[in-house]
This record gives sequence, C-alpha cells and structure tokens, in this order.
Amino acid sequence: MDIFWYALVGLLLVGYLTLEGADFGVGMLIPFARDEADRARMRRLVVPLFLANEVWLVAFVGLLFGALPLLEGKLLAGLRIPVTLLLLAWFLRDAALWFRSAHPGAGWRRAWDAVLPVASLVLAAGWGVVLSVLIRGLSIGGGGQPTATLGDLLHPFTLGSAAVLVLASLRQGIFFTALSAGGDNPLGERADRLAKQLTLALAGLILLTAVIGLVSCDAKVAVAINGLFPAIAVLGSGRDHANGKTVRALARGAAPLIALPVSVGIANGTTALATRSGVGELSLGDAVAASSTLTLLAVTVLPALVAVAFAQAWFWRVFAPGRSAGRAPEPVAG
Amino acid sequence: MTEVDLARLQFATTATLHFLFVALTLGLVTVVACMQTRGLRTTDPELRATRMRRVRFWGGLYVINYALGIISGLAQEFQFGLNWSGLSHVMGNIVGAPMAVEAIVAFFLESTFLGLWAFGFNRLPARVHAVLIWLVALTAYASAFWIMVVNGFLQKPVGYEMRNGAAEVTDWFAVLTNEATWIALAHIAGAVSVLAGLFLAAVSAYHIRRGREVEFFRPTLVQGSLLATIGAFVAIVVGFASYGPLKDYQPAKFGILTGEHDEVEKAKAAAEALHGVGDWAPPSWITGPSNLMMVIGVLVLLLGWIPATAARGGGKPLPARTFRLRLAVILLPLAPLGLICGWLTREVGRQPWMVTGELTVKQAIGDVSWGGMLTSYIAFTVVLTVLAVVDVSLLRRYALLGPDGGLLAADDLFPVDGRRPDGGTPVAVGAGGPGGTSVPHTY
Ligand code: HDD
Ligand code: HEM
Ligand code: HEM
Repeated sequence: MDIFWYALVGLLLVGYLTLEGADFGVGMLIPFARDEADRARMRRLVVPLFLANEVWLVAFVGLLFGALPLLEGKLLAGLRIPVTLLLLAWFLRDAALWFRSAHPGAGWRRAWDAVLPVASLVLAAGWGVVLSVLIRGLSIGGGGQPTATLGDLLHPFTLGSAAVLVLASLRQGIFFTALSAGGDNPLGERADRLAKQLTLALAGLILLTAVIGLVSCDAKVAVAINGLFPAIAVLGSGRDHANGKTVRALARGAAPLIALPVSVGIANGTTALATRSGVGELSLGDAVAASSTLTLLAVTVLPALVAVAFAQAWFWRVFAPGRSAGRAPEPVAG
Repeated sequence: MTEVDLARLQFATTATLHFLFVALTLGLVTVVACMQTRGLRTTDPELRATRMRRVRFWGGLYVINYALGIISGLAQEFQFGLNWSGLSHVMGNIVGAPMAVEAIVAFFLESTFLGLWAFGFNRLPARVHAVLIWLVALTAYASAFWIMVVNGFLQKPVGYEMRNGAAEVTDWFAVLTNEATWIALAHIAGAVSVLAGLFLAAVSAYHIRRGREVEFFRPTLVQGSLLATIGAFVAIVVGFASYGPLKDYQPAKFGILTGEHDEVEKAKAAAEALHGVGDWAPPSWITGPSNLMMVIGVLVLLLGWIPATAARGGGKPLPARTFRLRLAVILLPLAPLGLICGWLTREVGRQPWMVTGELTVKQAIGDVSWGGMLTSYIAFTVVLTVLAVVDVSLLRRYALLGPDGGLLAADDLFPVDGRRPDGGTPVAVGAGGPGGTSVPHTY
C-alpha cells in the first residue's frame, strides 16, 4: 500500500510537469511573437488551460501532506530556497496570465509581458533543480536534517538538468503554438527553424547531463534512464514535427519532463528522501501516514480522482487548441 | 523577533490576505449562481438578457477576485511544509488528510469547473453552464469545510490518540463532526454574506447615485443590503452561541473574551498542573479585536438594510436619495475589518498552543534559520501584497466601469481592449483559437 500512495503522489507530479511544460514554453516564447496581436493570441492559448493544469501541483502537495506527511515536512524544509523561488515565480506567472489584458495601458502590458517569460523560465529551471537534487541525494544541514546546500543547487548535474527542462519546455511551447495556430503561426517562419535547432541542442544536452550524472551520482541506473529514453524520444519527436505530426511531437517531446520525476522514484526506491551520506534518510515505511489516515484518503480521494479525470477530460474537449467558440453546441433554450 | 514569531507573522499575513479574497468568493458565488438560475428560468428573452448581463458583470468581478484567492491559497498550502514541519511530525496523520481531501475533492474539481464556467459562456449549452456555477459553489464550500476541519482540530483536538510521539486518528467521525469546525463554519457563512452583501450594495449604490444603469443596479442594491443584514444576524447569533462550547474547550480564551478573570485563573492553574509552570493563557489584547468585531456585527444589523429602502416608494427619484446610497458605500470597509478581527480573536486566542493542550507553537516550528525565515517572510509579503493591491485595483476599476466594462463577455477572460464602449452585444474579440468565428452570446 505504501508504494501505491507513493506512486499516486508521483503520478500527480508527472501530470503537472507534462501539462505545464507547454505552458512554461509558451510563456517563455512571448518575446518572440511578432506583434501585439500575436502576443495576445499566444497568451490566450494557455489562458483557459493553465488553471486546470496547475491544480495537478496543488493536488500533488495536498496528497503528499495527507499520505506521506513526514516526507512533506522534510522535503519542503530541506528544499526551502528553491521551493520558495518556485512559489514566487508561480504567483507571478499566474498573475501575468490573469491580469495582462485586464487593463489597456501599454506600460501595463509591457510589464506583464516581461514578467511572464521570466517567471516561466524560473519555473521550468526550478523544477529541473529540485528534481535533480533529489536524484543526487541531499546533504546534511546544521540541524542534522536533509538539506539542499548551495553546492547542491549549483552542481553541474543540477544546472544541466535545469537547462534540459528549460529547453524541453521551450520546444513544447513551439509545438503547442504551431498546433493551435494552424496556418498562421504567431512565431512566424522562425518557429520551424527554432524547433529543429532545439531538437539537436536538447538531445545533446540531455546526454551531456547524463554523463555528468554518471560521474557524480550514485544512482547510475536512474541517471542512465533519465538520459537515454528522453534523448531518443526527443529525436523522434523532432522527426514527427518535421513530418507535420505535431500532436505526436508534443507527446514524445514531453519525455524529458516525465523522465526526471520518474527517475527520482527509481533513484530513491523505498527511501522516500535520500541523502548522499545515508545519514538522516527517511524511509517510505516511516514517511507514510497511519492506516486509519490512509483509509479516509482511500474512501474520499480515490472516487474524487475519478470525478476529476472526467472533469479534466471535459475541460480539454471544450478548450483544446483548435476548438473555437463557433463549434459550441446549440443552447438548450433561449 | 525570534524565528517562531516570524513564522507566525508570515502565516498571519498570508492567511489574512487569503481569507479576505476567499470570503468574497464564498459570498459572491452563491449570489451569482442564484442570478444565473433566475436568468435561465424566465422565458421572456428581454428579461433573460438583462439577468444574464447581471451574471456577466458580477461574475466578472467574482473571477477577478478568484485569481488572488488561488494565488494566496498556494502560499498557504506550502507554508505548512516550509515552516511548520513540526506540525506534520506530530499531527501529520490528522491534519494532513483533510488538507489532501481539500486539495483533491475541492480544488482540483473547483478549478476545473471554474475554468469551464468562466471561459464557457459562449461554448456550453445554457443549462450545463448554469449547473457549472453551482458545482463551483459546492466545491468552494467543500473546501472551506475541509480546511476548517483542520482549524477546528487545532482549536479542539478530538478523536485521536498519541502513539510513539505522533497522533493517530481513532475516530474520524469525531474529527469531522467537531463542534469547533461546524460552529465556525456557520459563523463564517454569516460573515461572508456580510461581505458579499455590502459589496453588492456598495457597487450598486455607487452607480445609482451617478444615475447610471439605475434599473440594472436597483435589484442588487436591495438584495445586497438584505443579504448583509441577514448575514450579520446569523454571525451574531452563532457568535454568541459559540461562547458555551468555547468555555469547555478553550477556557482561558473564553475567560479573556468575556472578562471573567476567575475563569482565566482557573484555566491557568489547570494548565500549570498538567504542563508545568509557564504562561498558558493567550494575550489579553484579543479583547480589542473581539469587541470591534461585535460592534461591527451590531452596526451592520442596525444599518445594513437601510439602503434597500431607497429603492422603494415614490417621491424623490432613486439617484437623489443620497444619504442612503452613501451609507451603502460607507459600510463596506466594515466587513473586511470584522473578518480580520474575528480571525485575530480565534487564532491569537489559541496561543500558546498550535494544537490546544497538545502541541505548542514553539514545538511545531521546523528547523529554519532566522535569516531564512526573514528572507522568505519579506519575499512572500512583498509579492503577495503587490499582487493583492493590483487585484483590488482591478476589482475597483471594473466595478466602477459598470456592466459595459465587459469581463466575461468575449471569449477571453477579459476582452482584448479592456472595455467595450459600445455596450451592446459582446464582440468575440479575435476569437479563441485559429479560425475562431465571432458568435453572439448564447443567451
Ligand atoms: C464580518 C465579519 C464578522 C462579524 C460581523 C462577526 N464575526 Fe465573529 N468571527 C468572524 C467574523 C465576524 C470570522 C472572521 O469569520 C471568525 C474567525 C474564525 C471564525 O470561525 O470566524 C470569527 C470568530 C469569532 C469568535 C472566535 C471563535 C473561536 O475562537 O473559536 C467569536 C467568539 C466570535 N467570532 C463572536 C462573534 C460575535 C459575538 C459577533 C457579533 C456580535 C461576531 N462574532 C460578529
Ligand atoms: C484563512 C483564514 C485564517 C486566518 C485569517 C488566520 C489567521 C491567523 C493569525 C492572525 C495567526 C497568528 C496568530 C499568532 O501568531 O498569534 C495565525 C496563525 C496560524 N494559523 Fe491561522 N488563520 C486562518 C486559517 C487557518 C487555518 C484553516 C489553519 C489550519 C489549517 C490555520 C493554522 C494556523 C497556523 C499553523 C498558525 C501559525 C502558528 C500560530 O501562531 O498559532 N489557520 N492564523
Ligand atoms: C490556512 C489554511 C489554508 C490553506 C492551506 C488553503 C489552501 C488553499 C489553496 C492551495 C487554494 C488554491 C486552490 C486552487 O488552486 O484552486 C485555496 C483557495 C481557496 N480557499 Fe483556502 N486555504 C486555507 C484557508 C482557507 C479557509 C479558512 C477558507 C474558508 C473558510 C478557505 C477557502 C478557500 C476557497 C473557497 C478557495 C478557492 C479559491 C477562491 O475561492 O478564491 N481557505 N486555498
């Protein structure tokens, strides 16, 4: 049962990164749009969707607290600095999406157009940092608690992983824009060229990061998996894109965003929170909540997740890119 | 200031911000849902168009407000892990689960439904769309319930047992039916109605006094004033009713609030016998906010309904009834003030305990350095305050622009040029996606 809850929590994080990767990418691409109308169009690509995407992370932290309360406390406390930065970037990203077109002022829009790409970049890079630090294992801080030190946060493997998530998101953003824009891409002619260059750069960077990881991490298998599969998938998605199969390119292009959290699970196994020295580790058995708590979660959360699955599917049916207001069903009355 | 004080201050700041926005959300969502249902039930096309125009206007304000409810809520959710890992260490089995249920049962569903509603005006059949706003309301109140389960447990821990230094639930039914949760919820339902009611009345009165859209705002002036008065009545009745249970489970708080000093001394002696020498009573200054809250409750009860009377009877035209219309605007700030005072009473009155009688605030703090705590306090406070100010000024702007400001009119959350001066039928600006065609709204 412990593994089940651990995996379910992990699944929510994977869902979040998969869905939000494209949103981060579109956010970072705003400066590349041709003009004001295109910027507004690009923002509108993600506006209805980000709300339904980011709640995966809210659900992740919530379930983490419920099912693995000790892990939540130690994890967030140990990763205090990057998590704080991620949160601030998250607030600002959301504000930029909500507020940008609420006021016609040009300065107002320019300001949010600057906030959005920076916040999106910090989010993509920040997730790379947080997850790769967990693959390498945490240090032990002053109080004897697992902590990510500055050295951990600036380790080459960490920085490489951060760059991988940034490029991967950027690439997802290009595909997503192309998919939704049909013939008239707000990124213009450059989009295809940029995607091609990014494919090679990303695949190279993934392999380079994996090599650094193999040298510097104990979890060799996890690092190898985190390198090999995404690199292959990225090259494949580059081909899909060239062949005009953008949906497939998007699906395969998500591989680096999925592989990183999955590798955290592979690297740590049943050690829910690992340190490099092995001191102060938290095992899954200790982290998981008492059985009376898990019972309450099972009868409430599991049926709710089914309802959520339907609601999310409905959401995507209504708002997936390419669906326009014109295709709305006829109103029942009036 | 120690790091404990900083962590408390940080919680107090973000929680207050969060609650002010959430309170308006909780109060407004039912109002909008009722408006939309009424709009749907009429067959007269003109009446329906007017009513849907109201839904768009108030629903638009609701959505702007919702943005900050979410953003500040995120800060709340992460704070437990960031600053209060001692809480999850000892009480994780109890406080974690309701928050998880809240996150998934309530927010996951709520955000999805809200997105469908806010962006679905032109895309979904009218009935489905109306059902959605009720689902949003239901999940919003569900989230309030689950979070108040946690807060109720902090005030009055029930249904658990300590095993090896950590609490385990022995009786979920007792946890979920905690009187400290349910009484607070009833009181909050009253309090948020005061806020939503005064908000409706104040915005309506502002426009009516300037002779703008008088017929559009006449019903909401009446509804808002009455809602606020009923809300105050509920808050007062439940507020006084809560002293009885309070005497039972937090005698020191009760004694200070009611001025019964021997009650405080008795509670202190009992706590010292159990936990050793120490200061086991909350600070006495909580009587200040507590009394102010009560004064506000009585003021709203006595004055809240008066603006409604301006809408009745002959004589002077409505916009000229300046005194009563001004009153509606003047009363509005009382609502947020009352809400903050109430929370200060409840939460500071819980001191020095995090979980009454079981875990002190000092024990619940995580292992965070003073510098780290200060940095995150400043960073969170600055960012959230700036965003809150932006949000409130947008709220104000659209409230004062009136129904032609256009919020939920176009495909987009906000129309591209920020307002539609023409007023009439909404223009689908640039349309949602590629090949999007302009459609007149479906109502
Ligand atoms: C406009 C808002 C508002 C108004 C008019 C009132 N309250 Fe209130 N009160 C709240 C808003 C509020 C609140 C913010 O919603 C609190 C904080 C936590 C809670 O459950 O409700 C609260 C808490 C709260 C508590 C603390 C309960 C505890 O610590 O467990 C008491 C004793 C009262 N209230 C009593 C009253 C009385 C006797 C009122 C009228 C005469 C009154 N309140 C009006
Ligand atoms: C959103 C409405 C809420 C408001 C406005 C609010 C207000 C406050 C205030 C003013 C304090 C500072 C008290 C002090 O340090 O003396 C505080 C502390 C705290 N509250 Fe609340 N509270 C809210 C809801 C909750 C809920 C639902 C919970 C539990 C889930 C909670 C848990 C805490 C914790 C952990 C602290 C810090 C420790 C402490 O000082 O006791 N609060 N809150
Ligand atoms: C102090 C503990 C609290 C935490 C950890 C918390 C957490 C959150 C989070 C994470 C969100 C955003 C969810 C989303 O993305 O949709 C949120 C919004 C919300 N919260 Fe809180 N919350 C707290 C206190 C409260 C209280 C005391 C109430 C009501 C009594 C409340 C009612 C709501 C509602 C209705 C929303 C929906 C957003 C909105 O309506 O503006 N919360 N909260």
